Amino acid sequence: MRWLKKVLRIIAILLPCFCCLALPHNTFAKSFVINTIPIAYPNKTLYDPFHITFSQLTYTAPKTWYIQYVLQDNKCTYDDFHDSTASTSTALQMGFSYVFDSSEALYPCKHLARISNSFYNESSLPNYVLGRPNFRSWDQYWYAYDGLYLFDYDTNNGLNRQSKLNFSDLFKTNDNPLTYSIPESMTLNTLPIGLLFPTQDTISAGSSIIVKGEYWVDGDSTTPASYGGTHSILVRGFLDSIRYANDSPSSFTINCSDRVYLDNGINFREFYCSGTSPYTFDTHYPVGLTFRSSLGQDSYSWYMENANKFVIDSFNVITNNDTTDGGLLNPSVSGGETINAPGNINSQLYHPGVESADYYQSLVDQFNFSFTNPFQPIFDLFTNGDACTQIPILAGMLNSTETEYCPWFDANTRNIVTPVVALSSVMLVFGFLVRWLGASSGNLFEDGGSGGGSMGKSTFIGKRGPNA
Amino acid sequence: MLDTVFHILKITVVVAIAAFFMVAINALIGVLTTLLFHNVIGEVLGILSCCLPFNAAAVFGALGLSCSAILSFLISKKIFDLTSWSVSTV
Repeated sequence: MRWLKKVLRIIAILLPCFCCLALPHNTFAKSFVINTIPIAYPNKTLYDPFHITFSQLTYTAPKTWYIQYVLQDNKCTYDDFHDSTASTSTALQMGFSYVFDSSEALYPCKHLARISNSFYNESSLPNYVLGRPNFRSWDQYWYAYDGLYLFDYDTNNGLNRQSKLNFSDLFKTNDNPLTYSIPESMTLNTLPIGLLFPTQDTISAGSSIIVKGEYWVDGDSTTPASYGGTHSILVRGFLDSIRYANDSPSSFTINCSDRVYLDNGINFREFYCSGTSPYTFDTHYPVGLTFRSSLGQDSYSWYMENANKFVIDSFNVITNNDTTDGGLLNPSVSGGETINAPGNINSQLYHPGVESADYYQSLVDQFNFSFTNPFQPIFDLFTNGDACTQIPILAGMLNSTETEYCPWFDANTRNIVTPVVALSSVMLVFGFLVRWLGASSGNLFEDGGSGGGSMGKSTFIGKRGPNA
Repeated sequence: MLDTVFHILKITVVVAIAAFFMVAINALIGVLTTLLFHNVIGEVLGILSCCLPFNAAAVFGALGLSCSAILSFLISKKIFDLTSWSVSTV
């Protein structure tokens, strides 16, 4: 047994070396928490640019962070970036705020912006709204963003991805219904609003599409009658690709009628758009809305507030029993489907073929013999992992839109019970091992000893005893 | 003295072999897991694990780590024993 003690001693000495061999990124990088709760916003205001605040970051200043938009096909590289406007800091809370400025060049793979670190006093932030910049047009093509990556940088390894923020996760709140606003100040014809329809149904040619909502117009706070012009909703569908040209034949316009009213000195406009889709869209691919207006864009900021009030009824016509307001308020829907907000975006729906590619890639990745920390499963016992499990295959089989299944027990219970159960199980397994080793070593010098089985017979060290 | 140095070197080599086998066993476990559970079976087990008051994936990860450590230890022990001197007396 002396040799066993020597081996265990050597292993104990070399144990820290195995940990040092772990790659630096994404090994112990559990300290970055992205604030996934949208910033509280007032009821009827929206400004551009909008902020995403990363709070509760732990790092040593000075440090530079990078953000990159994530395309659904993840084909962007990091070879271009530009400096954002750095924020001054009054240190009350660790974190930084990245400003997405709609006046920036919106090149999809070049949305890598360098942000100077800052300690941000969150109470001093203006009331920006966390929006959903998931549609961009550039060079006559549309790109739908799925989220963004957060990187840091070090001289040895370059850019290291620390975390990923999925835009779809930002809108998972406990509020009912989900609410969000589309935040951009826009020249409407160049920076369209985008909405995704996460429906499971197909918008067939000839089906009616009804969109209603309200928006707020900055500028004139006196007379609503000064607003005129025509309004329409431009519907763009991606029939077979995430990219589609502006002049694609799968875009069409439905006209809107609207009503303006004055509230607290601010003009609000409600619109009601109705039309018929001349095309058949497979809604596994994004179908987007763009709000367009012929009014001058330079002076005013537009946005679509309460986009959750969009009612997309592709099968029935919205009827209204209220005759006082012209049908714009509190419509009653006869049948059809009311979509409050596209909060269940599942990017897998958009690329059904990607799943098989990921499967084989995950098989290949198992044979990546980079020496990562072998004790990571022990550390994972104490981390708050993503408790909910994704069930896209079962959801597809059951024709359900819910692709996520969450645990019955709360996180506090699981965080206590998990390491207890795991460490108890591991100790039990090692107990059996030690018991077996002890039994085999007890019969070490006996010929044909019964203890330890074959290992006992073959591990003779030193002199054999005489045959029995 | 030379004997001691040789003994230490042999133990070091055995430990390195154990570490390699641990990584290899972890990779094989990962492949098996992917083959067996990256489908509807994995999703059903995931749903069942949501009924448990603990994170079953983390627990099985720890158990897998302990099993791979034991396996790699046994392999290195076997290698060590095969390279050990055995003196038989008549």
